[in-house]
Amino acid sequence: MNGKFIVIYLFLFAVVGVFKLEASDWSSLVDLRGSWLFTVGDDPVWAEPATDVHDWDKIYAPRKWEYYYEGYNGYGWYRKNFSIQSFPATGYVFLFLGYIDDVDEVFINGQKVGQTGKFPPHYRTAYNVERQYVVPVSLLNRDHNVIAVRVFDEALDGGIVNAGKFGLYYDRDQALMKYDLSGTWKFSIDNFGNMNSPETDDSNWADIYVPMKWDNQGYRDFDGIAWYHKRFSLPESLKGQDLYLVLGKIDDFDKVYLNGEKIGEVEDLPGYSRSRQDKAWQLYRIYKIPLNLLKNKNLISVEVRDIGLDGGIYEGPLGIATEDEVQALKSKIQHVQDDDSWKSILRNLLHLFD
Amino acid sequence: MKKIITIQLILLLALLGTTNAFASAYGPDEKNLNGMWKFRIGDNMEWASPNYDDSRWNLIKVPDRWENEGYPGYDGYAWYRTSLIVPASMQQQSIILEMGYIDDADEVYFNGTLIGKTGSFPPHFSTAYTALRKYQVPGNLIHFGEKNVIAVRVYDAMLDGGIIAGDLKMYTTGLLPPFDINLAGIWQFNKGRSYDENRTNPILVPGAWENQGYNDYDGYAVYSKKIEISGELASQRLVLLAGRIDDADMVFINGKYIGQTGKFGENNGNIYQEFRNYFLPPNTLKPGENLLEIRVYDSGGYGGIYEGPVGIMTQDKFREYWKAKRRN
Repeated sequence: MNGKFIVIYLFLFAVVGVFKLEASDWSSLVDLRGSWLFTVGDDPVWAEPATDVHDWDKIYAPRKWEYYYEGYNGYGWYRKNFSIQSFPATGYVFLFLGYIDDVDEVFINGQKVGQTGKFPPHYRTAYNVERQYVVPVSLLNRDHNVIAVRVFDEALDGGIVNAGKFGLYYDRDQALMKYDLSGTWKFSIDNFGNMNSPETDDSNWADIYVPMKWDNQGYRDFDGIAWYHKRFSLPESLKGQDLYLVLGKIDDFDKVYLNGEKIGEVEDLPGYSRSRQDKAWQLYRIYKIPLNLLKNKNLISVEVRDIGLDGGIYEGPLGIATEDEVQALKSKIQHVQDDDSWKSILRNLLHLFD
Repeated sequence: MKKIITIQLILLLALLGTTNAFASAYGPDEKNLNGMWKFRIGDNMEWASPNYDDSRWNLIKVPDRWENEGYPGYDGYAWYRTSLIVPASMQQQSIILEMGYIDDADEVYFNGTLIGKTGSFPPHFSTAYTALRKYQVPGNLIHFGEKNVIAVRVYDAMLDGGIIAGDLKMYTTGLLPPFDINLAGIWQFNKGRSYDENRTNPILVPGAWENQGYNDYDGYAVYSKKIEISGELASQRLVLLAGRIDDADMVFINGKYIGQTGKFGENNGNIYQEFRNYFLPPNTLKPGENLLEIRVYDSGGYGGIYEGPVGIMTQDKFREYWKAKRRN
């Protein structure tokens, strides 16, 4: 194992509350709770920031629309203007919109940022999926931003019905990364052979946002093996340093390759007890990068195996970090655990091979 | 003797007056129609007309079985008539005429136009004496602030007959949908999973199919209607309101699938209580004649497009309609 990888193994006791613990260090950029403009009906022009909305109703969100429109089923659009006090210069922020019944499509400043469920005629509800979208910072302005949410409700409760986090958020841990790897990756659930090789042409693979579970991105209920690819060039400033690849949390197991060479894995190892297997999805993946593997153009390939429920690289931070940031991240993670120590115990740092 | 009859008539008129006076106690949006109606046994389609002179008809208490009202042992056809002032406050409202329970089959005419029927007359007789009659009254048939005539054609096969029970009234259920095409009325109907032009029979929409000759029928059926539409209307965003359907439905226009509510062949829970709105992008309907199909799956109990509103309006009107319906 000679220093090939580190896995910070946060083994949590089986206390229900612990599993809901927010490991990401979410910082709220914009709270969207409150008054929104709303209309029944459907028209693609309503995604445009310049659309005339003077005759739209004002309603509160999140709250099921039946509170205002008894028995209403069908399409409805929500719109809201917002400003952002401060946000990161580059990269991505997260949009949380809670639970939407049944299907939604979200636009920010006229650009589609995501969809959950399927609209008619190939309708599929997603009423029980918490909405989470990745928004490129380049899409946002300091002022005069417009978010438009197109919603379709087949029957019963409809609209943006309830939410925990409701707005734009930023993961502070992500700021620790020297090189940001969050954002759009290439993705395949089909095995074309040599899937982890840099020679494999992934240009026709699907796009996927990372970190976000694949279930929210068109692969609902998919269990099994999938491949993530990210190609990048290392900045000059990082060359020659001891570097770590931070891949956040992955549900359930992963094998990680840099330029075709395996640099680490979390897998269903023999000797893991049944209960430990079940915790693999809560491990932070921090892999040491062997210096001689990095080139000018690099491919990270992550082979993910999901054995049930949600799957994929689902939580950040993601990026390349030096020893300092890894220590900072580890102490933050430890700190979060300590805050909750009365109901959880940081068991050990297993596989600390460095 | 003649004097007594006159006094009786005066008393009756007073009673009728009282009935109308009571109506105001229900509020401006409800008119009580219990009380004395004009009545005559026999059958003549001219009796549906608002201009028909029924002054020589007998009076009968409604609701009550006609066997109790001087027609013991009578089976067959009979007509009821009454008139009422529909208050102007009911304008722009969706108006329901509730006719109680009728034994066995009926047709209801409002100012001479058929607005609903339940059960069926001979030769394809079927009773619907357990069904509560609720008919939508199209606003364009109503003379607001003036006299309107309701005529009810009843057929009783045996035992009790007539408008036997219930609480007869006319009331509003909220804002009238501003339809460009009101689809309440006669549609074509065939059993089975797909539209079969050669096997269709007329059916009234809205209204459960059980009360229209398809007693105890569960499973698949198709409602179809040919609708004419102008090029100007077809080019706009439209919304098809398909009312409440028991249990699940799929909508097709000119053979093309538009959408559905609920799932065929499965248990759909309470989805039968949900109002259907189908959104039609511009030119979904073509100028001229279009075939609208609503395929229905009913897993048990009542089936079909059982309650309105049913019709097509522009999305602009639909938005205004819901803005006006907003509560809170």
